[in-house]
Amino acid sequence: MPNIDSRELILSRIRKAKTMHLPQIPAQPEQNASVFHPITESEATCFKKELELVSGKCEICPTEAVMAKKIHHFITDSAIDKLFCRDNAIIEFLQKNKIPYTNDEAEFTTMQAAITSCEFLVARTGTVVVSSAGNSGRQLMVFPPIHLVIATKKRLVPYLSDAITALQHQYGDNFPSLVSFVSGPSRTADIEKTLVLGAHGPKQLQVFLHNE
Amino acid sequence: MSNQATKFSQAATRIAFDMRHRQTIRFNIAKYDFAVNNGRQRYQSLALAKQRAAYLKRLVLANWDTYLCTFEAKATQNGIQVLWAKDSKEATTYIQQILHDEKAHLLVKSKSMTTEEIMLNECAEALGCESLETDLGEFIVQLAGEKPYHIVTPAMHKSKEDVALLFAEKFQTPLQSTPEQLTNFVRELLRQKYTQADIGVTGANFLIADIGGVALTENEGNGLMSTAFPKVHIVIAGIEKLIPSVNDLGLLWPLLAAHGTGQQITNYNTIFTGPRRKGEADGPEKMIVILLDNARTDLYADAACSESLACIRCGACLNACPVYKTVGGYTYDTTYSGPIGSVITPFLKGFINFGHLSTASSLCGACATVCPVLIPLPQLLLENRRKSVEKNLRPMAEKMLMQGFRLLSSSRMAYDIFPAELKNLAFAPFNFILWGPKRKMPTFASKSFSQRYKQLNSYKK
Ligand code: SF4
Repeated sequence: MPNIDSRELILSRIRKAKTMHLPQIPAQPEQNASVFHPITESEATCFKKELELVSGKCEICPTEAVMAKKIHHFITDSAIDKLFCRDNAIIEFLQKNKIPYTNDEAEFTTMQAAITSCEFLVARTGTVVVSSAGNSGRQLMVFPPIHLVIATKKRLVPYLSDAITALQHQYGDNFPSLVSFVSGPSRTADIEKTLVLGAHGPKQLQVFLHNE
Repeated sequence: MSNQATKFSQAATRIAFDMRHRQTIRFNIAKYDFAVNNGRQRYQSLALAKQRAAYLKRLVLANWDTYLCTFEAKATQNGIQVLWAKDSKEATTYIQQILHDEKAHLLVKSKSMTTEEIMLNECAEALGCESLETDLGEFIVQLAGEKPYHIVTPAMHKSKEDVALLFAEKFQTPLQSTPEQLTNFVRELLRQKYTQADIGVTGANFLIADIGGVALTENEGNGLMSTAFPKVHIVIAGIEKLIPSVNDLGLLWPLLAAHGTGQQITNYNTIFTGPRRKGEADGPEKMIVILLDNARTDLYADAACSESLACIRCGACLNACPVYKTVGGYTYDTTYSGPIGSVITPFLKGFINFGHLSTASSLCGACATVCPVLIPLPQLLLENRRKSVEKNLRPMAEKMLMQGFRLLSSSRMAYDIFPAELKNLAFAPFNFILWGPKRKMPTFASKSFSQRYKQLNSYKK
């Protein structure tokens, strides 16, 4: 089915145009200075502040035990029966802390909330970087009505470009099939620019950040 | 004048005085302006960010063929099938073949102007495959049987009452539904569709050469949903969407957000580098990228206008344009409207029918001021005006007027010999033929400057 001729045609037209007039490139602008504001507080504080500005929530927990307690509180307050989870390492944590969960795929479409890990957290923009590499896959980062993310502070990076560099470190040029930079719960403003949370993805994004 | 030009004038005259339309657009754009102002504050140096982005996109254009080949090689290595389409007909042929091979009944689609350009919905439906828009704004215009009004905000022309009424008619939802209730209704409706769909179609905000990936920017999560469940992911991307490296996204994502919606960063910025890999929990079995030319190489062959291929489709120039704000998106009758649409459409669809768009500008320069990649849009509009004149596509009356004016103004004698009343009389008809009775052509002063100068100086003596 692929049309080799069109490929050649397109490339040859580009090359021909270049012989007629050389496209202008402006002088290379300065490349080192940051165009963004510096981070003046701790990265964790900055992350929390930024995420909450875009309607997400972040709990900074000194220990894993405190984090477990906060998750307990959260699911009780939100009347969540159990968390959907596909990640074995997280399941172990949930079991240890007696947090109700399920990994039964039959409950996928009716789940109230899911819990996953993440790749990185970007402080400047309040972004959670997730990928298809773990057991959670693509679906769990967008389908659950409420998305809980747990991460250690080691996952924090200052800027977007640092997260991209870190991804390259981790995966070389063999990226997971999908990497998504998620900043807050799903949103839309398509009707009269009125902000509504939970357009198609999660209505709530809750990050639990701990030190261990 | 071509039919299209006449249609444009008539539609513009009608809508410019439609107060309801004007109010809705003002309201929406005012909200956008407010958000963008906040978005700018997130930068320490927005000017430098724009210069870097402008440089980057020019670099791509100067080495376009090389970057395309790098992208193709790397994407293929990632397991993506790359198809080249010289025009929209070839692109739709590819798609119909895929739909046929996959025996597809339902296609879900995230927002993409390139799919509008090739009329993907019509192409799928011709094969009996339902093609469903999933972006809320696109869903609304599809439901209304309309086309997107704006390249970033498709339903900008509808008030919340308009949308509530439309939904009440089509789905019997309560007439007083709030935007929140309407959004929720669509959410529940589409959740069933994503899981049943055979094909997910997205556009691409950037094609990333060094890793052979596709970057998609969205707020709603419909792009992620459309690529998490169906077994095939098709990307339709204009060949100008290339960027050299994944490392450039740290610059470009915030810039696109700041100009598109005024956010610091759009909610979901996703990089796709292929179908489900071995060991991954889910994802499509196939990923296909269709690289669409559709006259982009014609644009490239034009020394001046080739620069417009640097556009990242943020929509800022539309929102800044006084003409867009007055005549609205539909008057253009094109896929891409506003200043950027006026520059590129004559190349995509011909100067004969769309050359007039370059005159739909007061050349105020607002578009160039806001453009994140520093495209000199007013200059390019002037370039296109010149082309229309050279191609002899301007109306006869305009030609007469211009020739008359040249005759008069190129000689001092000629200019001064006719009295102002006579000159005004001679030019008066053009006020009606060319400018329309609602605007007033400037008139000749009773004494020319040189006459007054002489007079004044003689008094002094
Ligand atoms: S021309 Fe510039 S301002 Fe207009 S849509 Fe393209 S990038 Fe945005």
